[in-house]
Amino acid sequence: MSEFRGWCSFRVAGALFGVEVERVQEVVRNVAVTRVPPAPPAVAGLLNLRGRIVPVVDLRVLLGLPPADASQGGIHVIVRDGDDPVSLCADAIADVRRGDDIEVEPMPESFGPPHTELILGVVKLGDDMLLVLDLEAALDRAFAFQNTH
Amino acid sequence: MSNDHESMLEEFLVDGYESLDLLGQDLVELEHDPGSKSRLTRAFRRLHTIKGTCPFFGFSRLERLMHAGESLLARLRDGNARFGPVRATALLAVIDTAKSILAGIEVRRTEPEGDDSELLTQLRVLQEHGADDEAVATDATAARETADVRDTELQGRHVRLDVRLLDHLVNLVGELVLARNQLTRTVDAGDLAATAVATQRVDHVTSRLQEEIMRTRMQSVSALWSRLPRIARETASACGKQVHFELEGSATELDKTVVDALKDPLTHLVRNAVDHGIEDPAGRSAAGKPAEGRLELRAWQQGGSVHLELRDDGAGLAVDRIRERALERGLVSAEQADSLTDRDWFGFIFRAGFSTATRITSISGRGVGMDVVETAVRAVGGRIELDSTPGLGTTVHLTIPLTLAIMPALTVEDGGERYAIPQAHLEEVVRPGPDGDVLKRIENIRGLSVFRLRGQMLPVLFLSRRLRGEHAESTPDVRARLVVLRTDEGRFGLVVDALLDTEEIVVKPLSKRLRGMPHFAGASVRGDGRVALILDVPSLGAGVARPAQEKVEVQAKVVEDGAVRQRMLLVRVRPGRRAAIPVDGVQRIAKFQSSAIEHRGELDLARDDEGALPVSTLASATSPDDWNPLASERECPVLLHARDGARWGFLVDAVEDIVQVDVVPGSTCTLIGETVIEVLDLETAARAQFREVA
Repeated sequence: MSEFRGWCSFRVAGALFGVEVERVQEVVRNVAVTRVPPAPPAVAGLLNLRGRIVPVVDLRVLLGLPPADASQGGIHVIVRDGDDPVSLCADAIADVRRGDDIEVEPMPESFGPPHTELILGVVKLGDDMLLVLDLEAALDRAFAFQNTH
Repeated sequence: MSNDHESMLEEFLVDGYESLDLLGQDLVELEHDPGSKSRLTRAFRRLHTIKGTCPFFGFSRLERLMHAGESLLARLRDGNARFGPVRATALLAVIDTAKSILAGIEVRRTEPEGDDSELLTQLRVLQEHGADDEAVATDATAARETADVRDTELQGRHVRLDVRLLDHLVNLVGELVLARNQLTRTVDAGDLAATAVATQRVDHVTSRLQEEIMRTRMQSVSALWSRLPRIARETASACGKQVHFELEGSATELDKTVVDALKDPLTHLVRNAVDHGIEDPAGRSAAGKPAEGRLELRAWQQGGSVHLELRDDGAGLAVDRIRERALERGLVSAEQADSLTDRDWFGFIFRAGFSTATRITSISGRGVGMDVVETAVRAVGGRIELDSTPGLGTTVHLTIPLTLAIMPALTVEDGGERYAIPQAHLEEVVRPGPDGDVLKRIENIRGLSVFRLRGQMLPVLFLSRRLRGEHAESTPDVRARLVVLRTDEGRFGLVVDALLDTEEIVVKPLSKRLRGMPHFAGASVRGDGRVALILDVPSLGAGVARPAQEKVEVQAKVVEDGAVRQRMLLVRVRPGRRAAIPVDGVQRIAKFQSSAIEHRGELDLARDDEGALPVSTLASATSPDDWNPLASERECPVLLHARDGARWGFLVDAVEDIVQVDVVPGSTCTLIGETVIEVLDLETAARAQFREVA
């Protein structure tokens, strides 16, 4: 499993996550997010990206953590979801990890946090471990509407 | 393939599709006016142009086909053969085949394989045979399948533009750049006055630019209906009918998205009109009409809307059949049925699965359709109305907004966020009364919030609760306003935290992922760069909006017989006993849980913001009665009466309605509808209570 060239990595609640760099369009910060009351909880709202309306997924909420302090801002990793951009809101950006020799290993059994189904695998980077996010699964989960609406 | 080649091919395809559509229209018109030399020449030229470009791309199959069609048209043009239905059908088959070849090219970038020998032979036979000999035609063409009239993706992506418009745009952009430069300069210089001037200039140029850009999206409705005559013709021949189709107002322009969205609905309406509306020639003769039916499509622009009207001179809608079918399917009860007007009955046509066709044809009558048409029309913000006179025909009227991309909207604030309400739905804004707070004037009747607007009951929704659930925290302050909104269903009031401003907003679609979300029609970007959601008013008001009744006078007025028209609260005093209570005596209607009412000595006491409130049942206050609503846990409506600082609450079983009735002063009963209802006066009842307590 070494077909991926690299990952754009970012931190959420201390843990290092990454998505395939090809899926990332850009990273923005300091933008106002408009809340969308009836949207699922993990959808923090909408932001204006040069005239395009982009939904924002709060990764903290998606991973079962309390939402980030709104005043902290956070960073928006804009990924492409088909033709539509979607923002993944994280605490901080790390960097882009590249290399052909980096192997994605399956998630260790012992790891067992509640959201393993959103993780494709892990990449060991020195002392750090990069959790490779399954973008489709994450977005499907974030936008899953309850039938109450 | 080089880019040049690619773009030339794309151009060829777009032109090809368009020419073939227009050719189809020419042919149908020629059938009615076979002698028109100019039309024949035009049709000939259209085929000739396509044929001429084929060798360049090496499309030999298409070239052969175009050549055969062209030769036949040449004979017709030169008067050596007569243009009749058989030749028209054969030429239309040429168009269909050519279109399918173009579609193949569009997908694969090379000409698709195929055998056209049968069609080519037929064309040759038709060409070689003499003037009036239409009999040579085989059945082959008649059996040919109806053309696939769906749009190709390519056509959806292209727009035709007048070069002058383009030049104008370039000029405006030039002006915009100059204005921007001026603005940056004045800002750098810190010259406020000059900045204001420059800003004004940018503003001016931007609005003009917006106008012009919007014009590029406008398309003449002929793009929408060039193929309709053909559809009418084919449907007519499939049902053995004769139809003459007339189009008027083809210069009317519509936004491209709207044009695209209306193609299928209009096709359906035309098919319906021919199949169900227009009678067969025998039926028409029997009804004393010419054998050939007439179908007219008119388009015109009026204000910010485009109107499309499709009129047929057929049998009209059979109200009794609709009625029968609606009763049969349980869509309406027998009692309700008596009060419905013809127009109400026509509305049933738009219900899903509703069809009154006695026979099912391959074209229509399966009960799918009119509901889909209505949905499509609504989706572009339009309205559809239907009118019909038995024996004389049916008219379908569509009202469509000119554009969807930009619209005026009222921006409001709620729960700290901004929302835009499309002006089209906005009826009025209720100014705060003398007490400064509209919310105080919202009453709760039977669990529904209502507002009395000039004598009418207006159902009221709270935006925050609608969006965030019934229990949403809401701390409306003096800035809170009630906006009155209108939908097709009726009117309703919406309480928002504050009103901001009215502006033109640019409508942007929500991301696909969020389209399942209710109550939003899209989003727009505000001046400060933030996103504001656009409220979907019909969805918000669904099930709540109420049709406005005829205006009723607010003030009590004296009518005949000395009776006075008064507003009365209709309540159930206790189970099984109803009464009307003059509204003037009721300070407000509150609700208490029975467990929250304490028993103190001789008195039952409830507590509200103003302190302790003695309560008793209205039933016992007016006649001996032992009904006790406090015996079990329930929510009790309480009518508050206040006089000289003293307050009393009357427990009732339910508050049902507010009605206007004529009452002779001093009488103890009144007529509401057909029923005699007892009139109770809270003041009298309270006087007795106060005396007792004292």
